[in-house]
Amino acid sequence: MTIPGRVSISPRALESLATGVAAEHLGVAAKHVTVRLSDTEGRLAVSVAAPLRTPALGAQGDAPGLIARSQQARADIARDLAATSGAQVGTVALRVTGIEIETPRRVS
Amino acid sequence: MTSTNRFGNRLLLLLVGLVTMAVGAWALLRAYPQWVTLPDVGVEPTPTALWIAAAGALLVIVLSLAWILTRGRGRTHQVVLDPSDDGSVEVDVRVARDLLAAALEAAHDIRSVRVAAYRVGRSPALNVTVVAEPACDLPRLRDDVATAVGQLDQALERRIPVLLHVTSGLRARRAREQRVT
Amino acid sequence: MTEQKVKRRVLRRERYRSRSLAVVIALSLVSLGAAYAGTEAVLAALGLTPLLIAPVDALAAVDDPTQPVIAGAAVAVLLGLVAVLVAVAPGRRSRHVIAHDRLAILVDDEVLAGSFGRTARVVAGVPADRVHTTVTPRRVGIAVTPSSGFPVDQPSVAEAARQLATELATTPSVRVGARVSTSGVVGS
Repeated sequence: MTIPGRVSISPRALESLATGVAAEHLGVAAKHVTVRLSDTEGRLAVSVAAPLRTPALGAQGDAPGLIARSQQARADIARDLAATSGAQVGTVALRVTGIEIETPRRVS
Repeated sequence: MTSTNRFGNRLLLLLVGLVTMAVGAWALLRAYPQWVTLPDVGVEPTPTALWIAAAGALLVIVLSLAWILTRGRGRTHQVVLDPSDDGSVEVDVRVARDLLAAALEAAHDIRSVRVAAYRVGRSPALNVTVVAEPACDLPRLRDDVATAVGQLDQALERRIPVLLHVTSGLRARRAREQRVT
Repeated sequence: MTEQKVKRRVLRRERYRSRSLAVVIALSLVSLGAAYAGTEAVLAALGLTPLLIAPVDALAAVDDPTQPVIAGAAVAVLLGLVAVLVAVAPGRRSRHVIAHDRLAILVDDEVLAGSFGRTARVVAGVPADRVHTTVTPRRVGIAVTPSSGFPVDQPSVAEAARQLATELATTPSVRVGARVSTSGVVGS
């Protein structure tokens, strides 16, 4: 059921939302994520700069490569941001600025 | 690994050196006219000549500054750029640094690892500087780094040219003296 | 640029000095001189008193040089010569290339010496301060001082060093020489 009215989101709130979504899909804390929003032909252009959580070199195993995972994260961010904010997302540019090494959990 | 014009540097030095030698030689030869007779230059310079000389001096200063500023370029922070129509994925050099440093943390004979990226031609290349223990097992160090880089190749899904520079480092020597074995 | 081309270019450049420092020094001196000369020219053109020497007097000094001018000229010739020599000299850095398929590897000669020294030390069974290694572009020289009463087999040391040299396959390639001194030092 759709309720008539208008949803207004402040740019700050939208940025916060995008930051949270990005942090979730990259596996890092939101405070390490920097998001910049702008316009591209009427749609939202998202620029994300953040580290990525990955296993150490040599422990990657059959997991998809860094680039593939980044591309996947990018797609997930675009989809989830559009879903939660209702905004049309045009482009998502992801800049991986570092690695948070995922240490394998020891089962004691 | 910078894009400094090395041949240009040497050519410039050669030019400056030859001109300086020529000017000095001219004055020296004037002092000893019995060797070679050179024409006089001691005429009162016209104002036009003076302004031209001043403009020339300014040009020399500007060109010198320009040349000095063209040195040392080429450093970049981007090692991978994977664009698509709905955005792009860019990988910062810090990713390579984090991964390689972690992989070589336990490596034998390696004190520290520094990773920087430069543009060589148009593609990025990595400069990995390894500070090694004074008496290191080079073949083993070489293989350890090669293994880590091979794993990086897999992670990035491409082979980025890598320069490995193994150095002893001044800092490393001082540290050795302070260490209690 | 193909990977091989990048590798070759990088190694070629990193083995020699760029002469950037020399150029900065030279151009700084030239700029200072030009700044001074230009200032004198402007002052003279405006008919003001010169800073040190008016251009006409400077040119006259070159025509009939006095002692200080001769000294200055000699200095100029010397500095110019230094610049020419620096421009022409190869400026090889004390580094060796180590052969590898994937990586371009440059090793400081100090590290190379340490590596050969370590091999010699292990084979000879002497402490590190009994081995002295020298590395030049085409040669590695190892000098071992044995502990008194415990002779060192020179051929084994030489062979081990040669094997390391083959393993590393340096550029420029090195010839290895190992020498064990006839007199030893007591204790280890």
